[in-house]
Amino acid sequence: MTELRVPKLNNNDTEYLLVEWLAEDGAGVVKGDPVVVLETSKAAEELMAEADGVLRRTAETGATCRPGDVIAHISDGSAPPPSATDPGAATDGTAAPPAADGSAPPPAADPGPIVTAPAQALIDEHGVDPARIRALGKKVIKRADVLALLETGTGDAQPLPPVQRAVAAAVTRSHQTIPAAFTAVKLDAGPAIARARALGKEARALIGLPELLVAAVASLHGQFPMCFAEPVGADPLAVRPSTAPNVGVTVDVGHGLYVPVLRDAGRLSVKEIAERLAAYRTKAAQGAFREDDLAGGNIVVTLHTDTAVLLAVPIVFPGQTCALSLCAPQHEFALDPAGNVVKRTTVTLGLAFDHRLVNGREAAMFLNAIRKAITP
Amino acid sequence: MRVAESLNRALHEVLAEDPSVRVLGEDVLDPYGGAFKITKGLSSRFPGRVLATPISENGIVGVAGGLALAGGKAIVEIMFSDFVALAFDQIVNFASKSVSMYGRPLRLPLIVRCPSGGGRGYGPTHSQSLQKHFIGVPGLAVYEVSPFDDHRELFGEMLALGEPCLLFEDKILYTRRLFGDGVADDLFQYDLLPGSGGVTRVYVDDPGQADCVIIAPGGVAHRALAAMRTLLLEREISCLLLVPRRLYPFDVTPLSPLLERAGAVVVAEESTAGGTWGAEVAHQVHSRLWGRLRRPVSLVHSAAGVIPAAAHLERDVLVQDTAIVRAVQELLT
Repeated sequence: MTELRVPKLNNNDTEYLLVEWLAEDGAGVVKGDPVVVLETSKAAEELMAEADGVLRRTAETGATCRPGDVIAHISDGSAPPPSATDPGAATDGTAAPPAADGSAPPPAADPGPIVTAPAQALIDEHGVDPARIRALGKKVIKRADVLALLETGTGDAQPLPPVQRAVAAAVTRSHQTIPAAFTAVKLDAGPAIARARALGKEARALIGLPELLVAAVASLHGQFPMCFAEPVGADPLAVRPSTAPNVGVTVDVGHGLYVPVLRDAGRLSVKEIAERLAAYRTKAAQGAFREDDLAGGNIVVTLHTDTAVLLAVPIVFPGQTCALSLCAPQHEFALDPAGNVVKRTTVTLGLAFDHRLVNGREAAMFLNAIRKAITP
Repeated sequence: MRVAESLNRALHEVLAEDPSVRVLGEDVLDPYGGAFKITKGLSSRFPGRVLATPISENGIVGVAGGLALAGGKAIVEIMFSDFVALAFDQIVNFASKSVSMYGRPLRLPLIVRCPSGGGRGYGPTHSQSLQKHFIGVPGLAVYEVSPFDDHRELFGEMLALGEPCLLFEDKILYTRRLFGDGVADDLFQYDLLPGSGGVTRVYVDDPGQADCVIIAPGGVAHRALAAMRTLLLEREISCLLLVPRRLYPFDVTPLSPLLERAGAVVVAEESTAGGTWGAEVAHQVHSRLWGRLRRPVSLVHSAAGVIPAAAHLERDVLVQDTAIVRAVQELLT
């Protein structure tokens, strides 16, 4: 076993840059073969193998090394060689060498076509079968190629993307297992919107009706425990009460519907709720949700902010009892107590509930309590 | 094969084929073989024809110019191209004029090799790209090494020219691999533009189907390729890269049909802005294609400042692929 040590290359420098390995890890080298390029502050220097044998690198490309450092071993079979530490290096010496210069590594046997980001987004959106993409026989797949593929179609059914499959499963299970009822109230939203605006200014956060609604729902956990309970079993039906209001909120920025959960939302200030929701929206945009973000909810607030939505009936999520819907603000004329015509802004607040556990009277009380909490 | 090895091999072949060729420079003798090992093995194989000199750039180039004028051929290595400024007088006031000022044309086959460019942390005095200072000198040709070129052919072309030539060699290329067989990577292929006298074109499928043409010398080629990859994969903007072997004199005529078809042109170079090769190219393009381009030619340069030694600061100053991406996007929107 011979050590390949970094020699002192000049008097100016105390360390050098390992620019490139010239011999593969695990390759056989002959004494005098150049094996590595080191760069000093002024020049590049090749180091030669000092013995015949098998090269085992112990330093990686881009490493800084000092005179005296061991950067490789050349094994002659007398001792087992230490394993390589260069992460890009092939340990068996058969795979492609890492691209030390940062360029793309040589293509593997069948790397498939290169897909542009816009094309990939379209492929994901429509769940296009990779085999159909491959069958195009093009080196680069662009958005136009995918569009053409979608238009021509083969009549084959397209599988749903994973997110939508999960939504489909939840909706189906909800409709099969939960006898849901629905009640909606009209809310004079003017004072609430003004309050949200004031709170937002004070807290320097983006606070609106959704944030106020989440806070209101969470604050009623103690008063309406059944709305947060989990139905258990079928016959006989039982309920498991919840320990804290874990409020799920719908987020859909175009990559599919997600319901991230604000845990123990009763302990959060409106500002904290706003911040967490903003963080969830960012995660949704980046597609960065983790299981942990989405688990553990015991009630859901669904947001329908598209300006024309008057009324929306949410599904009750399996394992939960209630789901609220907040629709877009509408403007209307109304009569004030003095009989004058005034303009006001309203929203529809809906509650879908598992009628096995909650009755209409309690649902109406819950909605009214929320209304009062939003507009004290 | 790495570019350094290719240049070394080319020099070996040039010296083997033509006994009148001499190599001069500092520390070019074996076993050192030059700061970047480009002259490695030459002095052992051709003793007496490889001359180690003192630190005297003006003197080396003067001797080499005289040697070339007297019937020999000379190849000079300037250890770092920054120091070619010390030989400016010999190049501009002696060598380039000697081919024409003595009443009849004279041959002066001289190549001054200049390892240039940054990206290695060598700091302000060892990292510059001084090409622009040698553009537009009558009787002086300026070349730049590219990873697409046949370097043996390149040296042959320069020596056959019979005029003094500066050859800029971006140091960043030395450790990079030479492209071969018309394949740059998994995405891009390349070939010589027919009738262009040594302009490489790099493209995905069809060189005629580019949204934008990038013209860049060999040292910037990898950055241009990275930019082209980003533009294609993220924005579906396809670019054609043109890499000329000779920077000056430069004739844009053979490029014109491609430039006109794309209608958008970016010239990228590592030097700082102001009186540059890129500006000269842009002027020629405007003169020929005015009214047929979507926008004026866009120039990409390094920032106007000295080049720091610290890697992260150096990165901020020198041209990066991101700057090329930005320039192309701005041109097309």
